[in-house]
Amino acid sequence: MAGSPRVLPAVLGIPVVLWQAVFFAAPLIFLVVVTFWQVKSFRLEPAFVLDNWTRILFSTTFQRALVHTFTVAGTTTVLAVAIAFPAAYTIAFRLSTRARDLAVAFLVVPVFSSYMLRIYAWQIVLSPEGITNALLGSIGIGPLPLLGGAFSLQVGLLTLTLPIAVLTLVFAMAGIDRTLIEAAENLGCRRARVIAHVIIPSLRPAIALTATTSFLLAFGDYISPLFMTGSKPPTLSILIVDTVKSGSQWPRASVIGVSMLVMLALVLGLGQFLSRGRAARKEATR
Amino acid sequence: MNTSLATRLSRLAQYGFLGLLFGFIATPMLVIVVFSFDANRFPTIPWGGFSLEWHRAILDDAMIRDAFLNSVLVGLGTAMLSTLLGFAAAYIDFRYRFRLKLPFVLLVAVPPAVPATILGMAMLAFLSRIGLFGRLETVMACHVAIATSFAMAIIRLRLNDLSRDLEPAAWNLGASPAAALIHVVLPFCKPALVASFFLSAAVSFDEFLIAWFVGGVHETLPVRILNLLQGQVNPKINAIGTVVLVISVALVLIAQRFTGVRAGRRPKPEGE
Amino acid sequence: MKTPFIALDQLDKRYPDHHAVKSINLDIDAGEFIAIMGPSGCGKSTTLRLIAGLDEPTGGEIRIGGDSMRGVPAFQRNTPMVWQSLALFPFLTVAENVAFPLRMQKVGAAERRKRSLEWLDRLGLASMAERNIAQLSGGQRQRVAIARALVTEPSVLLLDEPLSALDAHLRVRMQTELSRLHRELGITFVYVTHAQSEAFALADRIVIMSEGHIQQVGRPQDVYRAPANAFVAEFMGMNNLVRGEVRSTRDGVLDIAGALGDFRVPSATPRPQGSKGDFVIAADRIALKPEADGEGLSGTVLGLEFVGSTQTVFVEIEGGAEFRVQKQQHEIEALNLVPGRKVKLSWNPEHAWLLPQAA
Repeated sequence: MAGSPRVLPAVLGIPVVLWQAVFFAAPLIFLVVVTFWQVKSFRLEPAFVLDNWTRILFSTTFQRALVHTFTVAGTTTVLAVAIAFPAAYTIAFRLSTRARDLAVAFLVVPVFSSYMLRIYAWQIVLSPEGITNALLGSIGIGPLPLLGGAFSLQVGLLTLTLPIAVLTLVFAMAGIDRTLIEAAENLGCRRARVIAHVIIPSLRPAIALTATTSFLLAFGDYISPLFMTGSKPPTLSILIVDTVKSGSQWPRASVIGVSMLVMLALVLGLGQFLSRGRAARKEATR
Repeated sequence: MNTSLATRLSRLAQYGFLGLLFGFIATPMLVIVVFSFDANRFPTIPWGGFSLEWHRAILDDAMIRDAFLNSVLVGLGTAMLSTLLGFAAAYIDFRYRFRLKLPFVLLVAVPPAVPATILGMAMLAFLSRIGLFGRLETVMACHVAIATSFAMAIIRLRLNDLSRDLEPAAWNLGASPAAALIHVVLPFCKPALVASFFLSAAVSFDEFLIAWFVGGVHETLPVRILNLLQGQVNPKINAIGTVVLVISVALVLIAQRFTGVRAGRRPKPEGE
Repeated sequence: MKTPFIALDQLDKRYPDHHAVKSINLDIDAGEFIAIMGPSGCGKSTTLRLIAGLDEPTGGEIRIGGDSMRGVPAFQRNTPMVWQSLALFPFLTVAENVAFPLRMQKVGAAERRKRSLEWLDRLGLASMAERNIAQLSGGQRQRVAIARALVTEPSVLLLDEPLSALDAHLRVRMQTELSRLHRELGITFVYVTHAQSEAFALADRIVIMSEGHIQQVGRPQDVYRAPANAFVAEFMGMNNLVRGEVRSTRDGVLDIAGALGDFRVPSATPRPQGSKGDFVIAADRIALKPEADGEGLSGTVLGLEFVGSTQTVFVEIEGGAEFRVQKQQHEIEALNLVPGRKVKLSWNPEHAWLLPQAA
C-alpha cells in the first residue's frame, strides 16, 4: 500500500501481541513447562521429571474424575442440543421479526452476566428447605433430594450452556434459504420430514458448533460442580483447584490442566471433522 | 379440520416449550431479585415480607464496598484497554495481509475458549513468577486478555461494512494513514466501540475465577460473592446479587443496542 | 518544447496475478481535459490510482509539475480524486465532508467553514450544508464529492468513472457542470471512463487503453475518424472494419482485395503489393439503397437499434461480415428498412481510412 509506512501496523500490532503474549500465551506455555518441574519443601523448582505425569495419569482419582467429567459434559451436550434445537426452531421460524429480536436480546444477557449468582439461585430453588420443596410440601409431597446429584448438576450446566446453544442455532437457522424449505413443502414433504431432510442437514456445521461449545463450557466449568453437587464426585476443574490448594502441588495441577486442554482440542477437532465430513462428501458426489 | 387442530396443537406445544425454556433461564435471576427484598434470613417460601434490610446491610459492609470499588476500577480499565486493543487487532485483520495473520488472530480470539480454571491457574503460576501476583492491575490485565477477543469480534464485524474506498479517499484528500485511522475509521466504528466498551466491562464485571486466582487480597465483587457463598448462608448475597445482576444486565443491554447484530435493525449513520 | 504538467514515463504496474499497466508513456499538459478510455480491465483505473499514489508503480516514473512522485505518499500529492463509489464519509455532514481536506491541512475551523460553504454554494448546494449524506440524492452526493475534491484548489482533478452511478438525464447535466468547472478553473482534469459519449463530450484528448497498453492518443474526432489500429476502430463502435490485401498503388489510391470484394482506399504513402490493407469505414459514411439499384456490397438487414435521434442498422453482408450503418429516422422510413430486406451498401472511397501498418 502506497504512502503507508510500516510504522502504523507496528504501532497498532505490537501492543496487542505483547499483551496477549504476556497475559495469555506465556502463562499457558509456562503451564506446560511446570508439568515437568518439582516441588521441594513447598517451593517450585525447575527440573525435568516425568513423575508428575505418571502420578496423575495413573492415579485412580484422576481417572475417575476424567470419566465423570466426560460423562457429565457429554450428557450436557446431548441435552443442550436436544433442548436448544426445537426452541431455536420456534424462534427462527415461528416468531415475528420483532419477537425474534426480543428473544435474541433476552438470550444474550445471560451469556455475559452473573453465572455464579444464577447457580446460587438454583441452590435456593432446589435445596431441601428451598422453594421447590416448600411448594411440594404444601401439597404433601417430598421433601425431594433435588440438590446434590446428577439432576441438579445438569440444571446448573444447562443454565450455563442453553442460552448460547439456542443463540448459535437461531443465527444459523436465520441463515437458511427459505425457498429450500418452501420447495420441499411444495413437493409434499410434511413438516417433520422437512426438518429431517432439509433443515438438519444444512445446519450440520451449526449443530456441531453448538455441541462443541456446550461440551467445552460444561467440561471446564467449576461453579456448577462446586455448588450443585458439593464437589462430590469431583470433576477435573474441581481437582485442579483442590490440587493447587492442597500443598501447592502446582506441577500436578498443571498436568491435569494440560491434559484437559489436550482433550478439549481433540473434541474441537472431532467437531470440525463431523461438520466438514458431510460437506466434503457432498462435494465428491457432485 | 383435523389437520388444523393438529397444527394448532403443534404450535401450542412449540410456544409452550419455548416458554418453559425462557422460564428456566429467567427463574434464577428472578429468584435473586425477589429474595433480596425478603425479610427472612433464609430464602424460601412463604416470603417473609418486604424489606430493604439486606440492601442496607451491604452498604455498611466495608469489604463489599471495597470489592465493588475494585470491580468498577477493573471493569473500567478492562473496558478501555480491551476496546483499544480490540480495535487495533480488528483493524490489522481488516487492513493488512501478512504471513502470521492466523496465529495473530488466534492469539486474540482464543482466550475465552480456555476454561477459566486452567487459565486462572496458568496466569497465577506465571505472573507470580514475574512479580505481578496480587495486584488489581494484574486482574485487569488478565481480564483484558480475555475481553479483547469479544471487542475484536464486534469491531471486526463493523469494519466489514466500511467501504473499501473510504480510507484511500481520505489518503487521497491529504490524510496520512494515521490521520485517516483517527478521522475516518474510528468515527465509522463508533457504535461498535461503544458496544465493545460495555460488553468488555460486563465480561470483567462477571469474571470471578481468574480474579480469584491472581487478585490475592484484592477481591472484586464476584470474588467476594464466591467467598461469601462458600461460607454460611448469608442473606446479603441476594442483595449484592441484585446489584450485580442489574449492572451486568444494563451493561449487556447497552452493548447490544450498539452492535446492530440483531436482524433487520442497524444503528443509523450518524452526523456529528 | 514545453514540459508536460503530468508525465508518465515507462509507467508499469504488475500485481501478483496480472500485469495491469505495461510501460506506458503519456504527457498531459497543464489545463488539459484528458479522458482515458478502454474496456474494463484495460488498466485505466490503475493508471489513475498510480497518479494519485494509491498504488505504487513496479516500474517507471510519474512526474507532476516536473517533480518525480517516486516515494511521495498519496496524502502528500494533492491529486484529489472523485470516486466511482463517491467515498463520502457517512458520519460527517455535507459541509464537514467538504471541509475534510482542509482539516487535514490544519486549516482553522472558521476558515474551513468559510471555504467549504463557498464551494457548496458554487455547486448549488448551499442549503444542504448541514444535511447528512444519507439525506441527499445521487446527483447532490456527486456534487459534494466534486466540491470536496476541489476545496483545496488543486492543480489537477482525477475522476474515476464519476458519473456511472447516475441516470442518463443527470449524467448529461453533470457533464455540463464538469465542463463549466474545467473552463472556469483552468486546471488539469484526468477523467477515466468506459462511456464514449462522456469522453467525446468533455475531453480535449482521448487516451485509448487495452490490456495495459496505450493504443492511441488524440483528439476525439481524430481517434474516431482515424483509428490507429483494429482495436481502436472496433472499440469506437461506429466503425466497420474491412480486411484486405494491397493489389496495387497509383496516385495516392490503393486497390485492395478482400473476402468482401475489391475496394479503393486513399493512402498518402504507397504500400507494396501483397501487404496488409485493412481499412475502416465509419457507420455514418455509408449509403444504403434498395437492392435493385447500382453497385456496392449486397446485404440483408438484421435489425435496428435506436441511438438518440438516429438508428443503427445492422446489415449482414454476403460473405459473412456484419456492418453497422447509422441513419436518421426519416431515412430509415423512406427506405422502409425492416429485418430481412435486401440492401446495397456503398461509400465514397475518400471516406475510407486505411489502418496504419503496425510498427
